[in-house]
Amino acid sequence: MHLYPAVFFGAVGIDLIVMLDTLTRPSNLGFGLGLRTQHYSEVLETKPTVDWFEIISENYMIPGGQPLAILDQIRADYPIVMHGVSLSIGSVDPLDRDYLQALKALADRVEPRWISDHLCWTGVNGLNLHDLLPLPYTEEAVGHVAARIRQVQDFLGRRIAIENVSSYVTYAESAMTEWEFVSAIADAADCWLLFDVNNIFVSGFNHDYDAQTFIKGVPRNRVVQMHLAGHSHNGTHIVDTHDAPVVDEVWDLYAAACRHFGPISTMIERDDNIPPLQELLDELDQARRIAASVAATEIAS
Amino acid sequence: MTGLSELQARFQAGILAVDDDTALDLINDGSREPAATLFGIYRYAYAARLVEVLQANFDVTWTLLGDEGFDEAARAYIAETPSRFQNARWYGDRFAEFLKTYMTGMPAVADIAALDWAIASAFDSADQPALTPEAMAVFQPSDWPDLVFLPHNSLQFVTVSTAAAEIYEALSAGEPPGSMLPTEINTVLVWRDQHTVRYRRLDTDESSLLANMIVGCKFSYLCEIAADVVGSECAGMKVAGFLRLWLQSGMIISVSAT
Repeated sequence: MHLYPAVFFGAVGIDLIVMLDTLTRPSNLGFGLGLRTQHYSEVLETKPTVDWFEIISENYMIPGGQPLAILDQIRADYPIVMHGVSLSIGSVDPLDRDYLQALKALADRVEPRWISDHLCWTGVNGLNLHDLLPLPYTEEAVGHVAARIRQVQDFLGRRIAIENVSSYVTYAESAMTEWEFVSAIADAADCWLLFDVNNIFVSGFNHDYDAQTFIKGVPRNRVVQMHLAGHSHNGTHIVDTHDAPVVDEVWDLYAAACRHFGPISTMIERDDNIPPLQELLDELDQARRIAASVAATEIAS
Repeated sequence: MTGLSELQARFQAGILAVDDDTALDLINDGSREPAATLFGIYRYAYAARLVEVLQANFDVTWTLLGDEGFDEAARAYIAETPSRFQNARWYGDRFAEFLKTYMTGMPAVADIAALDWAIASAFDSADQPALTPEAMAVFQPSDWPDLVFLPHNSLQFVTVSTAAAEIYEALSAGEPPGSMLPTEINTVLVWRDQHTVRYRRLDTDESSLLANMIVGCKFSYLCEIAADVVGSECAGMKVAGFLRLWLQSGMIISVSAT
């Protein structure tokens, strides 16, 4: 996306067109958590040591009431990023204008550091399955998704970040790897990437690829955020449940991602089986330790 | 090559219809599981996720039916009513109506579901500052006959055929629901007072006055309605009493003299 805000220098009388540097990433926010209703009171009362919170956009795309009032209070103390689940950027249905209007209205209220959603489709022919369904890795899909991301970015007036999803099937017609697909879309759409470390572990196991290869295969200058989460291992396949602590293998991948991408805004994303806040804070401390250890090693070498 | 449109249509059809296996042609067998098993993860997750959505929106109905009963009813609704909502928050708008026919012999279930939906809708309705009774002090006695009132947007009438308000209150408190037998038709009022959603059964007199207030009838007309019940001498006080109650409850957002 190319933004051309006109900056007027009154004294000199010059209209200066500023083209934003396409590779200047948003600043590193540090270590955050997904904001969940179960933790509202504790967050408001104790103001935990969390650098920022991520909200599920749709939970606040509502007319009013307590959730928005609480969000306003938390927003006063913490940076917020918005993470959606219903943009359906890969669907062949037209983009939903009402949805985009509501998303923009929420962004105007929250002033998030960035907005993200998933590289997937959620339904077609007017229906919504409310699931993050996989796309085929084809040139057609690259062109289709990139064009829609550009439309969304133009509408919102900002770049968005797109997250890799966990998947359980591969399409017969896919003609490239997942990381080639993600990279091609990011470049064609000029968007950011949200790198879900757990999701590449899940998909790597399910589809027999080396998750380390994925990490090295995406453009590092486009990654603005990392997700860490747990999953359910069923022996022959892994289901991305986001309902459990981060496992050791994902922590190892996180360390590898830190080495490759450098310091990136990182958060624990728990969507179900929500534990006491302290458990998530402890996990976040582990992320901090790993990132610090990687940074120290990089400096020493 | 399958175009993206056809691929998505077939993949979706395969999730929605468990006996539609044409989507399996689109996907590869995994190294440890066949395509059918892997595709089944999406089929399972689809219904499971929407059951969770309905559980969130119909919490007390879930309590009333229990896990198994709710799951069965929810899956029947999901099979009949795929979501057309971009935001899952709004999925379930016809669940109460569906339950009227799905559980014909138990009207309390549909009534409780209707209350659940109304309460959820009030919970995140638009914010509107309510007036207090003190706001009436600015009006002269001569203004009163022409006063009209604007209700809070969260205000809803839920028509039920059981003691739904009492059943709902008991279930919410973790107590047995009491009698769920059909009763005469009655109305439960649902609204949000600041950030607290409230509900209560309306008696016939208040229900009639409130319904007329909402559609913009003047205070003088409300008094005429009340006069049919309590006589013209007491009508003004009767309506004023209800008006004070509505103002104290956060149900009115503006008053003006027409």
